[in-house]
Amino acid sequence: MATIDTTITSPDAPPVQRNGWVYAVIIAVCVVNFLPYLWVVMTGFMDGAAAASRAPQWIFTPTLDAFRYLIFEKGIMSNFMNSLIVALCSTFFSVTIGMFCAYALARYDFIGRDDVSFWVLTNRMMPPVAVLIPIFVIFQTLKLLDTLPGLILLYTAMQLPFVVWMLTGYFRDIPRRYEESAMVDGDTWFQAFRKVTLPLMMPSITATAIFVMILSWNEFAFATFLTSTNAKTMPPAIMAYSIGADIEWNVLGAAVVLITAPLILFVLVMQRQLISGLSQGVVKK
Amino acid sequence: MKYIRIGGAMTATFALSLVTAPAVLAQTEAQKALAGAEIRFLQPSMPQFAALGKFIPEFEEKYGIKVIVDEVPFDQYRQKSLVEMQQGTGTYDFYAVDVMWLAEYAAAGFLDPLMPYVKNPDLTEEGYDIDDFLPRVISGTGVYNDTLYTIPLGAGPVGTTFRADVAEQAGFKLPERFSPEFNTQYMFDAAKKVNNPESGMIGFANIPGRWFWGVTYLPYLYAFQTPETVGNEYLDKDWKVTINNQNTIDSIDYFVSLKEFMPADSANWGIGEATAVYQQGGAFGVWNYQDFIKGFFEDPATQAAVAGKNVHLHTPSGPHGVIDPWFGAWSFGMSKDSKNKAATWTFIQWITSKEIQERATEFGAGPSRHSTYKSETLAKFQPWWLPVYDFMLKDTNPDERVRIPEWAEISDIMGEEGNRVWIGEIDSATAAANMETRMTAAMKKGGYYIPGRTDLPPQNWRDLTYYDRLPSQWK
Repeated sequence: MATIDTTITSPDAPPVQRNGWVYAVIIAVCVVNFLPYLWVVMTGFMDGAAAASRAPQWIFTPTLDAFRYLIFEKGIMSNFMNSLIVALCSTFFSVTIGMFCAYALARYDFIGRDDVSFWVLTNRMMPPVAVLIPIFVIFQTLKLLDTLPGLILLYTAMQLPFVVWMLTGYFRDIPRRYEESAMVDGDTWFQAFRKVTLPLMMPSITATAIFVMILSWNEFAFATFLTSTNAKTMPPAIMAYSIGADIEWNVLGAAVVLITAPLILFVLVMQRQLISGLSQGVVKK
Repeated sequence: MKYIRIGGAMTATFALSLVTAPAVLAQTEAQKALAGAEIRFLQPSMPQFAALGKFIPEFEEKYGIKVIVDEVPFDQYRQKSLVEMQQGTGTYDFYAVDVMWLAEYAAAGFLDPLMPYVKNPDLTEEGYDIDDFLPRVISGTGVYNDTLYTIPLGAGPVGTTFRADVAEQAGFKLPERFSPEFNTQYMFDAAKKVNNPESGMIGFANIPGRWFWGVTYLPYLYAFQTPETVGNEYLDKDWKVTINNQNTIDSIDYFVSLKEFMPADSANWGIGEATAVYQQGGAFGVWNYQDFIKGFFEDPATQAAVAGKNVHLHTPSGPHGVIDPWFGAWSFGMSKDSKNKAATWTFIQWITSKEIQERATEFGAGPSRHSTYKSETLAKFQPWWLPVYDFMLKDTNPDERVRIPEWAEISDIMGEEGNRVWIGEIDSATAAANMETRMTAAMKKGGYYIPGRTDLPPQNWRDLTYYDRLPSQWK
């Protein structure tokens, strides 16, 4: 029995282009991007000798030695938990606070608004190392050295300008009349914000949160100098455990797996929101 | 029958107490009172510290003192330790101190003098025997202004490591350590003989990255001296910079000539890159530091391609027969801000004791005591240390890298100008001239040329007997 093709194509639709080169280029780009990561992940499952060998070992007996070393000998899971707590909390606080700040900059006209916007941006221009010592002294005075609240506070402050700058643009893209309509119907400004603007902003907020989370998760310089054993996060721990005077490649590979796996998982779960958020505003209305 | 049983039990208990007596008696009452204390240690990630780390559980069990180790990547270690010390945080009770940083740390008052602890029988076990340390090692590592500030782990020279099996295949046998036969010409010829990049073997994996010249080029600067110029390698008796001379030019030319064996993209190679190539079996020779040998080249689990196939030699002597008198060491220094000084010293004296130092050599830690050098354990697990004993006693020069605050800048200048020669930007004569100009400026900034100044530090490298004092005689 023959199958009936029920696909309906609009006569005005442009012809679908099936160009093999497009696929070839996409595959090539994927391989170039993915192969180094695949190699690092494989290295994490090699023993020390295989990982250090000159010729690439595509076939090898997998072992969990490097993971065992990191998890049981070095106790890296406590660093993992520190990273998780710090990244999640600082992302939550910076996005929540930054969202309201961005909303104010986008919606209200007040004296010095442009100056505030510019000042927020310039905060991102400061190289971290320039403020390392002053921040160290402040932390020491406030007894925040080697504490999770200290790192959360710092990362929140560090990421706020990024959040404000990103979200201000997105807020400006949402017509003010949507909120005005809700307020005509009897909502307060906050209800209008919560019921109308916020749902429209969710993809953008999620995309911003993902970036902030990645930045906080990977932060190295402050984590190295402001923590010792209690609040040490993954980046300085990984550097210390895998890179001494020489490099233990399998340990480094295992560490890369541990540090990137949560982020990859997070982005995979949120990818629809991320793409939607990043593309918001690109279509001219 | 009952009495026999009790008597038997008492005999057994007495016998058991005899067996365990040394461990129990070794602990003083004051040390017992420290049980429950917690001490913190900041260290860089390096093989010798990893070896000593294996003994921490044993210490904790014996003394009831908890030791918390914070490991920091080597590249960040100096900045991190300096910030902590400068701010007096008291986060760490003791630090790993490189020999080159001692003057700076001690002069700034960051460290506590240790001799009062050494001489305190309540905190130092009876058999500690400070005079068992090699005089030049302990004074070179831990003494500043006649005062003992740190206790050394292993201390040793830098040198070179070569593949004996590759030499054998090429039809020659490498000489023994400190043999006069192994000079710069020999090393170059041997490297050239086996150099075959097409088949994956380069003659020598040099380390020309600009940060590293102070440890990788410097041995050649020394080797190219004549017996008459020894002692004036970069400074004369009046602290005038003397580096712009033919010996320097020749040594740079030699160092850069090793480029012939290396890939085109090697201008920034550091210790990690060169060591990795060697570990993978891709190089005939490489730079080494004595304390890294076990961890870098002789561990069959991670260096299967090279372990057991190496010959560890000195840096080759130069054309006039001079051998580099390198001195390198790491040590334990107690923070002046420590709140647990007694517990901290208890750990330091235990981990640097005869017994632990000897046992740690099995895992890659180096010796700094006479007894360790003479032990069977060292001979069995790290035989390459044995020829170094006499050298560390008589020939090594703790001031090879002059221990003045300007050294870091001098080392940077050497690296920057030398690396410019390596990449072909300038020639060696220009580099030597630039080094002299810039080093002179650094010394001038340091106040060495102020007319009438009388408090300049002594140039102990001109009379090394200063470092040969018995360890117990320091303050």
